[in-house]
Amino acid sequence: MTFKVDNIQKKIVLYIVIITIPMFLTSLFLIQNYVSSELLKSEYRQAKLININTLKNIENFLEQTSEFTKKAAYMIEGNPENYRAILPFLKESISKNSARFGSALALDSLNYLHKYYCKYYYRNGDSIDKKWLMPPSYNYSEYDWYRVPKAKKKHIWSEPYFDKGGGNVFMSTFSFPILDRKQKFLGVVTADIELNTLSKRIQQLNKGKNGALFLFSKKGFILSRPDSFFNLKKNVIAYANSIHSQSLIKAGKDITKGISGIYNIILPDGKYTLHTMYVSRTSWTIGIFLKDSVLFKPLKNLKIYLLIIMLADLFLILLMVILVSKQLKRNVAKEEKAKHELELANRIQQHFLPKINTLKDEEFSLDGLMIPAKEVGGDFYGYRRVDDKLIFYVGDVSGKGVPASLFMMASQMLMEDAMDESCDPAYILNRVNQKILKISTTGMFATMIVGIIDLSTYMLTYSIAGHPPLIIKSEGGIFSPIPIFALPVAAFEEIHYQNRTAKLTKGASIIAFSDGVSEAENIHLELYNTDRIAKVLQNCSDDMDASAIKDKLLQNIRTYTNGNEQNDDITIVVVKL
Amino acid sequence: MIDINNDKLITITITERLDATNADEAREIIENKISSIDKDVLIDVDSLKYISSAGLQIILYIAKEAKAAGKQTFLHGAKGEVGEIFRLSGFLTFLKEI
Repeated sequence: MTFKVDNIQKKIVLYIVIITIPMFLTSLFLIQNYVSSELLKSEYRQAKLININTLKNIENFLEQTSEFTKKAAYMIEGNPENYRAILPFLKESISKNSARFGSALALDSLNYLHKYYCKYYYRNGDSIDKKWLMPPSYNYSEYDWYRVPKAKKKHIWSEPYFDKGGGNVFMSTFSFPILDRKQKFLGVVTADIELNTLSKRIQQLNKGKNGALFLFSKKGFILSRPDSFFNLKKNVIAYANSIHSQSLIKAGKDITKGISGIYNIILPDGKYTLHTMYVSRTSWTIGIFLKDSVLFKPLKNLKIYLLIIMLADLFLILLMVILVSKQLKRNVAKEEKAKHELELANRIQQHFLPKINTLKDEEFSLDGLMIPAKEVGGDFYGYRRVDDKLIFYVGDVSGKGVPASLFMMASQMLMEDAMDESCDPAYILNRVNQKILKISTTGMFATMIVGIIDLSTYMLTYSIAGHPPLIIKSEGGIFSPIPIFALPVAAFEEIHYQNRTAKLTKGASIIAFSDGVSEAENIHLELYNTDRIAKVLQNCSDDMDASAIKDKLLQNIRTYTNGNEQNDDITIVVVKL
Repeated sequence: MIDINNDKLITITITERLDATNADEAREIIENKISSIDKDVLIDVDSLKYISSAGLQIILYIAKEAKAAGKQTFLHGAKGEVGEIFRLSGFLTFLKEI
């Protein structure tokens, strides 16, 4: 039994684990999916916002630094002969805005002046210096900032370059073409921004915010990065190749094509998400790197908390299971003990009943049986042979269980005592009644029937105390001898039990039984009844001895009740002469 | 199972079944509802279908209490199987049937 409880405990623990862990993992999975998608959404919004802000800022900045060139170009277009008139304006424009590094007026040598002309104003510390940028040392007509607007007749921002012989700094140049009324190209007015200035300015935008802000040129060079230094030797595609990051290579290629996007990138120090945005004005691309571990930190914390809660939960449940099963074990042990004690009581009770339940002689046979409904019963029987007399009795204590069984043992002992004194049934009952009432005031009583057969004369003498009468088969006829209606033993003190007699013949059968037989119930709660006992006896052949009759009766009762629970003790004593 | 009416007689009506399963409960009801027996007692078993020895113990208890108080106990409606049980058990020797 203890083994079984251990098994149950293991089963419960197993079921809890089997149920809890997948549920926890499923909820963790769902939470993770939900939270990470929310975090990503918020990250996308954040990155987009940074990019848009940066874009606006860059565009404003570029617009502010380059707008004067447009004005200067229009001035020349209005009066092509007097191009020198704009030179003071260029100088003043640079000195007015510290973001402007330099400005050049470069005129076309073929279509316009028929000579080279390129005057350049640039910032040198606090002052504005000027110089000629002329072939052969500086063949401006071959520089992108001159060539491209000439060819396209459109203003451009050049790819960043080192302006050797000119500004001698890394810069990007805005060139506004000067066109006459016939759209003939006359030259360009330029505005330079130093990359250093641009880079610093961009990083200031993102100060104290998440992520690393980068600015890439059209060719993928880094114009700005969080350490504020531009690096025209570092190309994003080359770098991506060096660290074998396919996703960064893809991002780099998209940058050169002017395609914006979102990329999951693995860098040597972790996973990042890169959000890029194309700056159409300059063909540059803004990129913001957000580190995933920073992004998913709240999720990681949440997971840890959930795990702690789950473990605590599981621990408490298991603790509860252990406590409950301990209690269960104790209860089972208690029940076990009680059951064991009842079994012991049953064995002791059996000792009070006749040790040999059959008695056989040439003249007669006797068989007795008591089947308790519970572990211990309140029925009893006994017999005794004294010379040529056979005494037998059946008793039934009111109620059930342990109290009835204790009363039964006392009754049985008193019966045996009284039989020592006399073989007279009425005397025996009177004796038992008097003695038992001296001890017991519990209200319990016992019905009894006592019979004595004189084996030489076949005269039956019997006395009854509230007990079902005998059933007798003699000379082929079935009958119950005249009943005696008397109260059970231990009911009232002043009762005097009477004897009756019946004359039997050789071959007669006598059945004494307790009401557990006549009141045995089938599944429909219908009683077995005395009539059925009589019928069984009628059907017994003359050569059957007491044991055979008893077995047949018991078999018939069992067939009738058909497995329905026995709710009263069954006692049968059969005598066959 | 059991009902008590305290009028000219103390009437105790027992119905359905009275056996070991409900005898203790019936005894409790009687002990709680009848503080003293100051009238004769009538036990009505007209609707009683089955009574076991544990049930008879209750009847005997009532009768003994009544006797101790100098009152009589009457029985009404004992018939069929129940009547047979009352008869065989000798209970009709001290319960007057009315």
